[in-house]
Parts: sequence; structure tokens; C-alpha cells
Amino acid sequence: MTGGPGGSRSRLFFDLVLSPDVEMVDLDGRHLASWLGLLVPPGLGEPSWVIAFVEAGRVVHAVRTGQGAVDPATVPLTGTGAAELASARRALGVAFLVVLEVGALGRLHTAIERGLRLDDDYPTQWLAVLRALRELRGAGIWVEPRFLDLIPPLAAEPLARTFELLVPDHSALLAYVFDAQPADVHASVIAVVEGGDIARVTTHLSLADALPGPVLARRWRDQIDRVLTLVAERHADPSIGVFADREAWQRILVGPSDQLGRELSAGNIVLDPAPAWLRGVLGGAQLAAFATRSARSLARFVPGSARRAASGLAQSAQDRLRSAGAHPFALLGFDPIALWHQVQAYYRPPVGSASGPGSGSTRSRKTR
Amino acid sequence: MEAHRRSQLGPRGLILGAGTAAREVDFFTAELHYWRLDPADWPRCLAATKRLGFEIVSTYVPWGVHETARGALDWSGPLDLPAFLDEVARAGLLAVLKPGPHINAELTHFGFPERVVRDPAMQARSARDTPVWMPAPPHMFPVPSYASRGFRDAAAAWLRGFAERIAPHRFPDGPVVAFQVDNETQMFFRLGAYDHDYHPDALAWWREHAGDLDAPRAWDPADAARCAEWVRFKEVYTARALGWVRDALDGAGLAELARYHNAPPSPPELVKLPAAARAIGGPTGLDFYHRARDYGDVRQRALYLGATGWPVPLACEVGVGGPPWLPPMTADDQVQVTGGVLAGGARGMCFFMVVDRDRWYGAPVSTAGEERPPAEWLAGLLRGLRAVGWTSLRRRCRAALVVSRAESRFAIASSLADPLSPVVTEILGRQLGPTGAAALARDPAPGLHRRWQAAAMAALDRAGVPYALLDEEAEEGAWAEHSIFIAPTLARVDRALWHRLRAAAERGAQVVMGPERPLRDELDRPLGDDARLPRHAGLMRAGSLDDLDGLARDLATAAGADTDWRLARPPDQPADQPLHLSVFEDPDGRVRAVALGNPEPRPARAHLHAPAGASLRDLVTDHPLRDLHAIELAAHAVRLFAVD
Repeated sequence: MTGGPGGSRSRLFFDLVLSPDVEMVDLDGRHLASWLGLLVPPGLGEPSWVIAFVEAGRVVHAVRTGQGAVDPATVPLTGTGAAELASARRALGVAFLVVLEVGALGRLHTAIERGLRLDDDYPTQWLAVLRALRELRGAGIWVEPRFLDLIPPLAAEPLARTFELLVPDHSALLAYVFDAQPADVHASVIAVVEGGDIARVTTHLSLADALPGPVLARRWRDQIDRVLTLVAERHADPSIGVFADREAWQRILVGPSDQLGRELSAGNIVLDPAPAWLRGVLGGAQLAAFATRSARSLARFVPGSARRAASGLAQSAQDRLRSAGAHPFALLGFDPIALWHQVQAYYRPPVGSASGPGSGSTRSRKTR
Repeated sequence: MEAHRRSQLGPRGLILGAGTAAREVDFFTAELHYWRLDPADWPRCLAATKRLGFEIVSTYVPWGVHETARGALDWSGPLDLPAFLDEVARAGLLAVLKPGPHINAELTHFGFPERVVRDPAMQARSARDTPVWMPAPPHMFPVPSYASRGFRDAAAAWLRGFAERIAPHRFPDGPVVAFQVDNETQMFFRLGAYDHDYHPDALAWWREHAGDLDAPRAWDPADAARCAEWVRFKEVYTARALGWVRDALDGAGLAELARYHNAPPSPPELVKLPAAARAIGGPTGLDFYHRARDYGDVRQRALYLGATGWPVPLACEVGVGGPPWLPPMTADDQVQVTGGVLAGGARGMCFFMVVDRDRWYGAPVSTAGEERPPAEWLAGLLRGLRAVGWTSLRRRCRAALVVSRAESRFAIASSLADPLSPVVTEILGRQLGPTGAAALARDPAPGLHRRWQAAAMAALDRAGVPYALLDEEAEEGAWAEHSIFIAPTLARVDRALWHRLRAAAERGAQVVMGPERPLRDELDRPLGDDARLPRHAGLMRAGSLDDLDGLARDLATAAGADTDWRLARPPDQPADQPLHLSVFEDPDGRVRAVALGNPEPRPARAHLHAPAGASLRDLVTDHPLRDLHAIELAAHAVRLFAVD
């Protein structure tokens, strides 16, 4: 029961990924803040944007960061096609342009609230929200750059089945990021899977009495066994552990797609335990990345047929990952690694400027 | 305010007993959740709380945790509230209980039993004829309708069961001295005009309020008055909801205890402390879950609470640590925000959480009763506040900037972002500039009105004139503490406010208004015979909006800047905004404390002009301040000093 004993909760919920009764104890607030810093793309906090409300194809109201309501005539929107939106955003000189048909937010609320079920878990409920957003994408709601295109066509059941397939029950998932100077745990999270879903979330604070953060961080590669033993004693047997140097983590966020492999090779990131599927995914992803990079670098020097062969090699590696029945993400219906590569563009240049990932002239946009 | 024989809340805090036997207790409370702790740890946690300097512990009492089946309540083990109250008494502490029915407390479904959120008859209805979902982690749920007869009956039964258990523990027989009526009652933060509540029982409430009019389901410029009335009805709905919770508690035998309510951490226009206070028969305060960088928001709400919270301004929840799903707050954030809340004039606070628990981080006492780093700061703060007699002090402040809703209701009623809640669009609105979320309104007047309100605040700060933010509906006693009222007006004004300003002017108070002479009321109807200006009213000039220095000079002339205590930056430190000074006096008019605030995101050095012979000590550390002309203020910091 949430937050303590007793309670009237029935067990009508379909336990999928996250228990509605999830226990969250020994949370280290500093670590929570650090995760936010590590995961939120830089510059997303205060980007420049315009929201234009349209009615019968005409901008009837517009607001702009720092200025409030502005003259609708200053929004040079000639249509809601991709090119027209991109052109309007460039002309406005903002990182984001949101176009909303008057009444679209009401339709969005309706779609969301008709899709939500009390018997679903929280991630599934969010899938209903995303599904509603996908439905209205281009049909009353437009965002440029095309953020909404990144929403994967994910359904609840494949997500739950993939989770069950990849994460053993009665096990713990760990992620640690370390600071070098001064040595300390920068961020940590330990999630415990019980009864098929995440039932407890905690941080290193739950182990710190036996292994203080600074002590662990000073020689973290040598102390991983100790961490795993403590997690097994106090929570559950670890099934996946990620331990990373903070700088390496940041290099992965902004680096090329094989950066993870490099950091693993250099020992700046350690996966322990790393289940077979994870090793397979990483091996396949590295191969695909290597082939893609090779294709790009070869392009300037080799004839077209050879370029096509190199590109084909990369593509076939990715296809093999996707189509092989053994591929761990096969059930999802989309490739999360490919999605990550699209999202990654938002970590690179500052998003707050017109030349950010949303601008029409940057490499990241071409990538998308 | 009605009297409560066993306890009541007065201007300094709790008053226990009555007549000559009455004694006062500062309302500084420590939140601790008994049901989330092992009963074996209760004594240690209570002892740690007492060591920090608290005299009162407060706890939610969760309906959804105690109820095991319809009508069956579990009071055993960690849920044994009577046993916990015995421990509280043994520890020499007092207790404040908060039985909801809404409690949140980061519980799944905000502490409502699952059968309640599942029952369509109890669910609030949207204008789109759907349930109204609360997207709170770790599980979204349909919120109940506080108008629903079924929900009211179910909640009243719970409150009776609760009251029966705690009746023997009421002061003076036991430690229970007060209770909180519900929690953050604000239609579950969903205040979009045409979002909810369209439950049949809610529509019956609307008809009682507005007559035979249909409830509007979208903005209609041709029927703007009905739309604005619908937005105003939500304030009525909230007060009525609080009223029936109060009645249920009184009816269950708790009428003799002090009670209060906590409004959520929203801008003043979205909470209405006076209406809630009247509904429950006790003070209504505000909650604060902010970071130091939210300096402007904290200051605005603290100035509103300090002036409007009556008879005692209570910061009902001030985050010590926080829930994992709000933007993370550091220990420094808590220090600065607490300072900011006190600088606005709060005289009571609940520190939330003092003892750690599930779905929380950063509490100063562990679940086993061990003290952790914020404990030292908290203990120092409580010592310092008591040493200066904080609850007897009053913020020196003649001027009141009036908070009115005549325009802001039209912003909500005509928002293009509807049904998105203004609670959400106000967060978005921080990036939009001084008009905030009003920029999303079809009606341009509310945005302009907000610019005038912001300009008046900026000009008063620039002029060094201390001011309060006073609700147009605040108690008469709260109005009587000021002698100059600044009420920016355009074409519309709230008719009752207009009468009030005229009455204040008749009593000799100064009234500054404008730039326009209002000719229409809060529903856009002609003021008619009411249009007469308050006597000797000063009118702000239309050009002042873009001439803050000129407006500052005008307001300083009207209000008079403080002459004996002033705060400035050294000449080599130019900045966009002036530093802020609050001066606190005891009942004899002696200055006993000051608060210094830096609104800028970079450190500042303050130069304090004080009367000769004044010496200052840091209120928390007790360290003397050696140089009044070089006081270091970190970015977004608020420092409190005792004055000797």
C-alpha cells in the first residue's frame, strides 16, 4: 500500500510497468536535481517561442516570449505545411513556433480524457496522452520544429511485454553517475521490480550508511561489486547496472552514435550486470553506427556504387536488429535507438537560438 | 471569526483555553506522518522534533489509507492515531490534524479511497462530458466533485469516523489543538473557465448562485457577463466546498477547536484567502513550494499573505525538501524561500516535512529519528524567531496595492488556451513578460491591467516605499492597517471594491487609482450612479506605464518613503532592480527585525541606512553584523536580522 500499511486499494489494476503503489524511499534530493540536469536538453529551459492561434486559416492571436500578446499580423504564416511553418519560424527568429487552431486544446482534452483508464498504470496513461497528441498533430496542433513527429506509435501492451521480457522480476535496476572533483556520487537511482512492475524507487542514500558516496566515487570502478552486494542485500538482485563518469555521460549525449562504445571501451562507463540482450543491442548499434560513419566519410572519395554499398551495409545492420525475432525491442513497433538519435539533436547546439536544432539550416535538421 | 472554547487562532498564533487561563503558542508546526512510520520510531521522531524547537506537530490523516472497505476504518498498528496522539502528549507536544477529505500528501489518488475515484456519480464532469483527470504521479485519477451529494455524504461519514476517534484527545484532555479543513481546495488546480465542474449537483449550485442561466461552456463575447460570472462562481464553489467540510467537522463534534485552511501556491488572483477564511471560520494561508530563483513569485505571494491572511498570516506548508516530481529544491532554496515568506509578514508556518517519509526527500529528521543537515538551520531559525518575539511583530507598511479580480476573471473567461488551467498558463506566462497568462486572453484589458499592477509594484520598490498586497475582499481589520490604497483601474472595477475605496477615502485614507476612471463593474455592466470617484482620489497618469521613475516619484510623494531605514546598493553596483527591505516593529513601535532581499540572479552588496546605534545580528546564526554598509546577499537571497 502506498506510503504505509493498510488501505483500501483493490488489485483491479493491470500491473504493467509502474506500480500505482510505488514506494519511493531514501531519496537524495541532490541526485534528483542532478538527473534533471543530466537528462533535460540544455537550453530547453528558456527557449524563445511564438504561439499563434488560428481560426479559418487566419492568425487571430499571437503571443511571444518576453513580449506577451503581439500583433497577429506580425506572424507570417501562409499555411500549416512543413515548409510554411519552417519559413514562418525562421522569419520570426524563434526556436519554436506553435500553431493552435482555436478550440484545438478543448479537442485535445477530450481525446485525452476519453483515452484514460483508471485501470491503466501511469506510463500507459501517458501513452493515452501521447496518442491524443499524435491524433491532433497536423489536425489543429502544429509544432515547428516537428517535435510531435518524434512521438512513437507506442502501445501499452508491447511496452509491458517488452518490459517483462527484458527485466526479470524480483530484480533491481541501477544507474550511477560520478563526479571526479570533488569525488562524489553525482546522481543515482535504484529501481526494484516486484510482481512484474517497478514497486520501489530509491537512491544511493539507501546504501550510504555502509558505503558513503565520496568513498564510492573515489574508486568507483573497484567498488561496483560492493554496490551490487549491498543492493542485493537491501533491495533485490541487480539485473542491470549502469555506472558512468559524468563527463563520459555528457559526451554520449552530444557525441556521435558510437560514443557509447568508445566510453565502454575506455572504461568510463561500466555495465554490470549487463544482460545478454543489452550486450547484443550495444554490439549491433555500434556496428550500425560504424557502418554509417564509414559511409559518410567514404562518400567524398568513392564512386556512387561503393557509397551505396556502404550505406546498404549500415542499413542492413539496422534492419537485422529490427527484424530478427530475437531483437529485444521488436515488440515495440519502433526502434528506440533510432528515436534516440533523433532526440539527441536537441542536446547538441543551444536550442534557445534560431540556429538551434530547429533551424532550417543546421545539420541536425537534415538528420531528421 | 467565531470563538472556539478549547482553542482558536489569533493574531500571534494559537490561543489555548479561554479567559484568564488562556495561553498563546506560536504556530510553528512540524509535519510528520504517523502512518508512514514504524510506531516504534514515533517516540524518537517526536523527540527529535522537539529538540529542533517545535511545540506542535501536524499530520495528515488519510481517508484512503484508513478505509479498508466502505464504512470500515482501520486504526491499528501504524494507523493507530489515538496511540500516536498519546505519544505526542507524552513527548510534551501539541498536535494539528488534517483529515482532508483531500490531502494529496503525495498519496496515490491524493488520499481518496479507490471506491470514491471510481464512482461516476462522485466524479466531477467536464464541459466535454468526460471525467476530469488529475495527472498526478504515480497514477492519474478522475477527481471527485465537491458538489456531488454522493461524495459529500461519503466524506462526511469519514470525517465523523475520524472525529469519533480523536474526540477524547482534544485539548485540554489531549494534545489536539487545531485541524486543517481540507487541503489546497482549488478545483484540483483545474481552473480553466470551461473545464469543470458540470456535475448535475454543481450545476444546481450554479443555478442557486446565478438563477436560471445555463452554465456557459465556451467564451461568448456577446454574453461576456455570464462567462465572467461563471468564473466568479468557481470562487463561490470553492468557498461552498470548504463550508460543507467545515460543517461536517463541526457536526462531528470538533466545533470547539481552532481550524484553518491552506490555499495552494498560486498567484493571488487564483486564490481568494478571505472567502475561504469566511467559509471555514478561521484563517486561510498559503503553501510555498518554490526555489530561490522563484524570488519574484515568493515575494508576491508572501506580500499578499502577510497583508490578507487574517487574523494570522499562515504559511501552511513551506517545503523542507520536496516531493520527487516537483522541480528539485535544494537546502539553500529552502533557506531563501523561508526567508522570503517571513519577509512578507508570515507569523505562522508549517515546515513540510520535518520527518522523512515515502515519496519525499530532504527532511531534517530521518524516519528513525536521526537529525540531518537542515536540522541545524531549522533549529537556529526557530530560536531566532522566538528571541525577537516574531509573532508579536508587524511589518511596517502604510501602503497597500489592492489585488482585484475584476479584470483577471475576464482573462480566464476569454482565454484562448482554455480549458488549460490558468495555474498552468501562469507558469508559461512567466516567459511572456509582465502580462503573464493574461496575454492569452481575447480581451486585452486584463493584460494591460496586469502591466499597471506590475508597474505600480516596480515603482514602489524603486521609490523605497514598503507596501502590501491586499485582497479587495480582505477583512476590515486588514484594511484598517493601511492608510494609502493603490488600485490600478481601467474601464472595469469591482463594484464592492469601489464602495470600499470610497469608504476608505471618507475615513481619510489616500486612494490612488487609474489611469482610467472606471465606468463599468466586474461583470462589465455600467456602474451607473456608483461611478463617482473616491474623495480626493489621485489618478495615475496614462504615460506612467512607460515612465517608472516618474511613477515612483508620484507614489513616493503620496505614500512617503521610509526615512530611518533604507536599503541601497553601493554606487559601483548598478542593477535592474532595487534591493528589498522589510522592517518589523514590536507593539511599542520599536524595530526588532529586518529582512533584506536580493531579487537579482547574481550576488549583491547592500548598504543599509539605519538609525544611529542600531546593531544587527543574523537571526538564524546569531552572528553580529559588523558592517551595515557592506552586507553580502547571494543571488535571490533573503537574510533576516534581529535588531538590538
